[in-house]
Amino acid sequence: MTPPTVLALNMIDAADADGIKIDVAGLAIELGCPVIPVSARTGRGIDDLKRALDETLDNHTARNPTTLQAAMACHACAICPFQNRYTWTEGVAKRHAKSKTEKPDRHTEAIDRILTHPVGGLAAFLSVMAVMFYLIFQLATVPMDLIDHLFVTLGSVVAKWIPAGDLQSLAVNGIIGGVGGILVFLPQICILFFFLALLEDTGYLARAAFVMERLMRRIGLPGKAFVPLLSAHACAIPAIMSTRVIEDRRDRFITILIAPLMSCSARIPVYTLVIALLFPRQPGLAALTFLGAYAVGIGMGLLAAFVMKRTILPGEARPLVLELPRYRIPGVRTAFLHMYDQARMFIKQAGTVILLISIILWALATYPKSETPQEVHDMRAEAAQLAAAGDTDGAASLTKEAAHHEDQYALANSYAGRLGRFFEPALAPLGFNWQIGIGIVTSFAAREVIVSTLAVVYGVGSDRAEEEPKSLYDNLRSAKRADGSPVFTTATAFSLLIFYILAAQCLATQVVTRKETGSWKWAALQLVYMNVLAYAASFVIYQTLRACGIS
Amino acid sequence: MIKPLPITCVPPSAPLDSLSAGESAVVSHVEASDDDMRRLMTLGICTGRRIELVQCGNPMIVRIFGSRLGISRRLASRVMVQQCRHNSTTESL
Repeated sequence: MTPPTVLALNMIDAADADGIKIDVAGLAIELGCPVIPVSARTGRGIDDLKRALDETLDNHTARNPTTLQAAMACHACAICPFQNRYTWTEGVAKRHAKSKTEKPDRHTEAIDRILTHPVGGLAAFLSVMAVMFYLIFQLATVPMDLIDHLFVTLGSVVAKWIPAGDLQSLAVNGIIGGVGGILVFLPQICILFFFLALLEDTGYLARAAFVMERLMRRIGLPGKAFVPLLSAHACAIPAIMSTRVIEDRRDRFITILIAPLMSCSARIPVYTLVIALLFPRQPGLAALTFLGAYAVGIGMGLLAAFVMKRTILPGEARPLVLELPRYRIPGVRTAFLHMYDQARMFIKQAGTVILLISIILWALATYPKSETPQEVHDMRAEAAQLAAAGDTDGAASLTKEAAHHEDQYALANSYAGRLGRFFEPALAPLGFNWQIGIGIVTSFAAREVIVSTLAVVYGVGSDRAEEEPKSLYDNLRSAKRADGSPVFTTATAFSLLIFYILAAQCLATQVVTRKETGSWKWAALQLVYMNVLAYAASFVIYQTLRACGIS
Repeated sequence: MIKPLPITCVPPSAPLDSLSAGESAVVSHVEASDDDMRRLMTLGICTGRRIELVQCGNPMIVRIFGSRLGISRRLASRVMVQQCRHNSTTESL
């Protein structure tokens, strides 16, 4: 027996717009159940639908839909369960829907001639993506600054409540700093998913998958993989979650494995820093290198997919078949709902993992505690003398310097510092010293952390680095190795850039990969292959540049 | 009143990708893996349905039951169709 049924006739607004008249009463009689025309997009008819549901629930004598039952029974058909259903549906449509216009999708056909064209379609796709990413980065700046400011304020408020010590440091640097460092990317993720939902609603995303199918097929990926790979340029975590649209398991796993190679937002501060070191006075070259970094990420991702399709997950991409829906004006309401869902998922999935990783890395960078060096005591004493003599400015700056020296000393002697030193022999062929090693270790919380780590390790305090990034660049540029040679040579900087493009450093990504693939095996593979790739590429770049005499 | 032109379907069946743009046909059978068959059916490509090739290429665009589908040539070559012809005066007999 079929339970009492109410039929919601969705997209009634689209039918109206096309001049399709639907005989709702006749349809209700034929189907034997209430039929409520609604539009989920505009919210029209939703109240009627609720009322109809209530009435059906209250009224136990509600008619069961006899015809629907018959249609559902097609499961039993021997030849083709779908065939009978389609024939039945076509019949119902013919009896109850009257269309005035001969070809309601005339406009869609005309637009598709351009948007699905092999050349025109690709040009349109690239333009749409360029505009979208420009808008994402433009619109996100203000909310990102706000979130950043909020967490800094929260940190200082909490610092007042909790007395100085390990607990304060854990709360302010570990928890608030760590979570704030990730939540700062939330506006970009929200805006990205808002735009994607709008594009989906217009019907364009299906065309984009159609156009991309031509290119991605050559690599062995389905056209649908482009949405996750695109989202990965904001953050790999929501991107990996959005691979669920890919039907084939192998296609989906490969997309998950390569998604973190796309340059996510967390890499931008690192790219900015390294490129500022490379080309301080050549904005043209700097911009080109920036674009190059993105291209390397995409290129290596596609190459990795190509190789995996022929080794660990062999087989052709599942051939495309997808609906190209009618173009229509997008609904802002549904886009907002979709964005909200995505944001909530991101916070839920990433939040807890990131919190845990932040705390672990905070501990690595904080313990074991080291004695305050004599030098710092001397500086503090000197500052006290200056203050007594009335030179408050001098005293303040000296106190600040002393605090920074203390931070530097503590970090160098912490577990993170020891790890940096431990890995130095392995990092030396890439042109990295142990200070950069600390930066790489702390990057496992989030990549951009290397910027503040380097700020602590080299010269400026982390506060000053944020206020005036130029001072950080100057200090890094003049930083010397033990033998007096500069640390950040062209070769080292390029090597560091390549390393950050390719390395898997965001452990939260691996946790999400584990969740989506159902096995730690894939997460481990992702972590290992990306870091091996990063190491090898940095090695080649550094040694080649050195061999060419560029250092 | 203009009477609609009678349509006759001429065997033998040929793959969908052998049609040219604008031509219609009736699906006679589908020779794909169970998974692909199911994907095609849920989108309307199913024995006995009328299908029109809208745009050639790979992937190509077809129209079926009022909706437009993008389909890769590899999959289209597995869909066998019997071409329909409008029996206009010159062509018939």
